[in-house]
Amino acid sequence: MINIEFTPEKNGILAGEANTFEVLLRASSELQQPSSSSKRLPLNLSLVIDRSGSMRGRPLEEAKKCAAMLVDRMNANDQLSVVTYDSSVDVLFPTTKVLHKDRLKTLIDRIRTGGRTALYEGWSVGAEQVARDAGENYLSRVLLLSDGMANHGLTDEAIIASHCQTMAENGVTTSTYGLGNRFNENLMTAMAKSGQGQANYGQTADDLMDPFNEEFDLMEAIIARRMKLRILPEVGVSFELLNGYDTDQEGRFIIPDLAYGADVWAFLKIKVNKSLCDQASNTSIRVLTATIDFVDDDGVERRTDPAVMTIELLAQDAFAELASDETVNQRSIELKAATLQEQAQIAARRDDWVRVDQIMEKLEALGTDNEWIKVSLERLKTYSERRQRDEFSKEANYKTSRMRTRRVSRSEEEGSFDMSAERARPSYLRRKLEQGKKQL
Amino acid sequence: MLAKLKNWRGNLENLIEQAEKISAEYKLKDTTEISVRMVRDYIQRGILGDIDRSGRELEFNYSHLLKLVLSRVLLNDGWSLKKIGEHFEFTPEEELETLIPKPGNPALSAIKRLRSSVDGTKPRMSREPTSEGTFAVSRQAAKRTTIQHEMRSALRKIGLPEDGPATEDITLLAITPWFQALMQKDRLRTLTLEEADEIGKAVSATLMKLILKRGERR
Repeated sequence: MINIEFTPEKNGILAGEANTFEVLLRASSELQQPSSSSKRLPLNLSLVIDRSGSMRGRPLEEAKKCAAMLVDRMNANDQLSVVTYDSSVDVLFPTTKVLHKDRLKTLIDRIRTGGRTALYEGWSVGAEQVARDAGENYLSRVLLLSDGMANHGLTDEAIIASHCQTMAENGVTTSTYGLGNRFNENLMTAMAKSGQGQANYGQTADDLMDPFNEEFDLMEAIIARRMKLRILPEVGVSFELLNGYDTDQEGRFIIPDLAYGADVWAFLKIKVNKSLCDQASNTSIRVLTATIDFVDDDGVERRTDPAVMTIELLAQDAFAELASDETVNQRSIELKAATLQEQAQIAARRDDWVRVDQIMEKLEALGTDNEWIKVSLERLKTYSERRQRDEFSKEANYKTSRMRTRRVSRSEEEGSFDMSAERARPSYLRRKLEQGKKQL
Repeated sequence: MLAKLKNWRGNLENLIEQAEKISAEYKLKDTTEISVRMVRDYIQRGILGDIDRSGRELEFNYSHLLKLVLSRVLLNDGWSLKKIGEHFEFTPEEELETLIPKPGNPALSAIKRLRSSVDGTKPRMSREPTSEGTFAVSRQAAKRTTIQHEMRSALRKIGLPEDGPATEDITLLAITPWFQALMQKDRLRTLTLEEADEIGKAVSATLMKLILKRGERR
């Protein structure tokens, strides 16, 4: 069901010496579209809404619209709870089958604003609601929406993220929706990353409608979840995985869920010792073996067949003639851009704008070979020129996260970016120009 | 197990026995024993809904059983009895059934564990705290939780419900300037003529008994 494919930057390495090279590992499904008989897994969601004082007015009204949209997109097999929080937590309605949509929407409409932001408490109550029925028969997820900093109850980022990871390992994932410019983007992205969900942000609540729709489209299209990639290098081979995926207790990399028409990918930097390359030219050597453990759309735990990566040893002149693979090049550029944006975010948070300007120059240089990076940097540059710290920091943070872990459409043309082509794709495969803005 | 009990009926003792069986079967975390006093308190608060009588005995059905078991689950999750009562009043039975935790649910155990680690009641952290601020929060939470436990324990000893003495919205009936009665406000809405007649008789009987006792003392 899941194919694993390796694409090295070149189709060979040098014989007789140590080699370091990059490899793109792609996991994809033979199924590119749902068949007429396929049914999506029922959803088991908890929507956790910040109703602290700062949400008063339009933000809360827009958040309610997002919640109502969520109700509309669910069906009678799905179940939903809504939790609201300020300095205390209230279960607006507990996990409930979505049978009477109007009744649920009426309850949502009654949410009113209150005091401070007990973000962890809100999340944990939502997680508990979802946990009651977590299992292989549901896709169970907490959707956390906040416009503020966690300032009440548990606030430690590392502990909160570790709790999200524990719950994800037990079948309850977490997606986060940051609203506006005041929330803690590091906490929200860490929760989504550890919680194996999506990290989303909108400058206004209206901008959040896009990611809400995207998340729903994705949940409807998931064909394999709880994906864990195991890589076993041969003796004399070492590797580094550059996407920043977390690992579980067994050392497996936790990679995104697989959806119809999408590639999930890992980018490896591989080092092969000289001893392994001391063989005649034109012989192939085994480099590593990869498998993926996952839960299929029937809720059954599976493992892919082992995929073995081999590569040919070549003499100097034959190696020099090899062209680099364009897909690998482009993905490498995106990861470099992600790392630079991460550094720029840290500098911006320190108000070190000289450093930010230096990094922006490097990013613009990368953009000359990648149209998406080039056009998506324009807004980031405006924020840096205006010294808008919060806006810059959030946009850089979410771009970093997206570039490292995005699902990729096979129909993407390497290095190019065209809005009409993006529009034609499922929302979860679209590349955005600005993460915090409604685009399409 | 619950699905097999749709036609269940029984008296107060049967209700308590069956609720305890379900709690054990579903491995519900609340360890407090269900007592006659507790059930009577729930009935008085309207949490279990209307209850039929067969002679002098109360007659319970599946709906009462479900609400009794579920109220223990929700109390354990931190809900107040008032909120539980309101939720039961407006929620169809099929939705209430979905609230009962499934047995052997690792996710539910995990979140309970994580939350209790933050409360400080079970000092287990999946990762050690990294800042003094977190310790301060945990200490505060632990202190608060200890006080809650002490309060619960004290209330249990004097036979009151564990979430505190009951508070009610009441209506004062000033029958005469020297004879006044207090009545639950909600109950006034549903009081029948027969019940009013019975209460009248009960009041008369009580007063007569007191008069007779006064006579004895003389």
